[in-house]
Amino acid sequence: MTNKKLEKKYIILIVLVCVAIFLGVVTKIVNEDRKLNPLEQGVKDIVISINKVINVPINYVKNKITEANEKEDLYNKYKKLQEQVDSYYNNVAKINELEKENKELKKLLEIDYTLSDYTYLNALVVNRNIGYWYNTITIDKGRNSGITENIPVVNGVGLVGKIIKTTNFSSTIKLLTSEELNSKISIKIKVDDKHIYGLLTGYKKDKNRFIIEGISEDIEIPVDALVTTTGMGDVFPSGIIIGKVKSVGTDNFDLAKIVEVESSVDFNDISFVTVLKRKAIKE
Amino acid sequence: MKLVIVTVLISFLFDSLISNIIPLNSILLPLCSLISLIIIYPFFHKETNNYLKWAFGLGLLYDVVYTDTILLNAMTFLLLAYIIKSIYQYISNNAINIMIVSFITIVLYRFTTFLLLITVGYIKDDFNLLVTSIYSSLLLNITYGVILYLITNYISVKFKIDKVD
Repeated sequence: MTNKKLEKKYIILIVLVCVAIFLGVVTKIVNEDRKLNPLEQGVKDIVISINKVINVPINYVKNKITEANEKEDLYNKYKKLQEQVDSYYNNVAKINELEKENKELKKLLEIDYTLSDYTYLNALVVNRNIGYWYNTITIDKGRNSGITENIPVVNGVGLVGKIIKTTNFSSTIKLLTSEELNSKISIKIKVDDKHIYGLLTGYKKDKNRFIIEGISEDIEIPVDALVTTTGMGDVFPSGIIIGKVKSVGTDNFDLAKIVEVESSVDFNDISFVTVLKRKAIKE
Repeated sequence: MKLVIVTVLISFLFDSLISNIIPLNSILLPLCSLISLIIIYPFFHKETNNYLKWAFGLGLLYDVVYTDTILLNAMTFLLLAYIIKSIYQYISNNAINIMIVSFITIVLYRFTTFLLLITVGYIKDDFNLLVTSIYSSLLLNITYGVILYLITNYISVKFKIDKVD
């Protein structure tokens, strides 16, 4: 009888130890910093290549549908572009002047490495958040194209996320909608000629809006003010668009401002992205 | 065995294909690989150990290719395969039962992964997130399960492939 009780206790102990070990392993494997082993990388590369081939006709049809939808709106777009053409030459001249000024100021301040110097690499999305909980997408470019971990990814309209894992021919992007990514980004809101600083603290999935807290100054923030990254921190350079202010409120104690920003990126439908590869430039 | 390989392979690739077509927050989230586990079980009626090995292998592949979480889905798929095996001892293999088993499997899969990930602190314990993940996965996958059952059933009858009904 005593032996049986002892046996039962041992079994419970063994089960508990196994569960603890398993949870420890899970903690380790969901860690973003975990490097993929060569076998994982090889298998992933092979299957992603097959996926890429299968996706070719699907993407072709998708592009044709998008094209057809865009054609309906062609006249309005033409009108808008015509308005922009008038200011185009002025803007080009202004940009040239600013570039020249920027170069001189860099020289003056002896800045030999700038965050704003990036090369652009376009990539096709091959998988979109299949694991559901992880908020990741996979692209068809990897280390062979010069991609490394912790570099920013954008699309035509704004910040998408950052690279967290790479293989030779694919990379995994953590989306900005993911809690552990969007709670660490310093942002600035453009109000007239001034910038107000704050921090992204969350994301509302149903509205596609980010939450900003820790607003630096007590200034009225207008709706539609542009929100961009500040460049503080190692990953995201300054000036990448996050979205536009949609509402400004206060917290439960009526003390701090809470700003809701509508994301400029439609995270529901990302097919192509641009990876910003940092390059060191000696002036 | 060829039918099993084709079923699993197509379902596995479908996961990626469908994820690229449907919007990220839609109610049609794919879990085709998981559903293929239900469909292939009757072809393993004499060798259930092999079935469990297949489940583990498929989960591992899912981990490596889609989620970068080696072993997490392998263990979950193995557990679910064991549950599917146990359920099939009490029910017959038909379209209605496929729908029921698919429902149970999807709910259990989402619940297990949710529980594991909140235990290790990867996601916050937001019950709404779990509910959303479940209802977003039901419609497409149950339909896929029934269609896949009808196709594999037709092929197995036509080519006289041995399976348990």
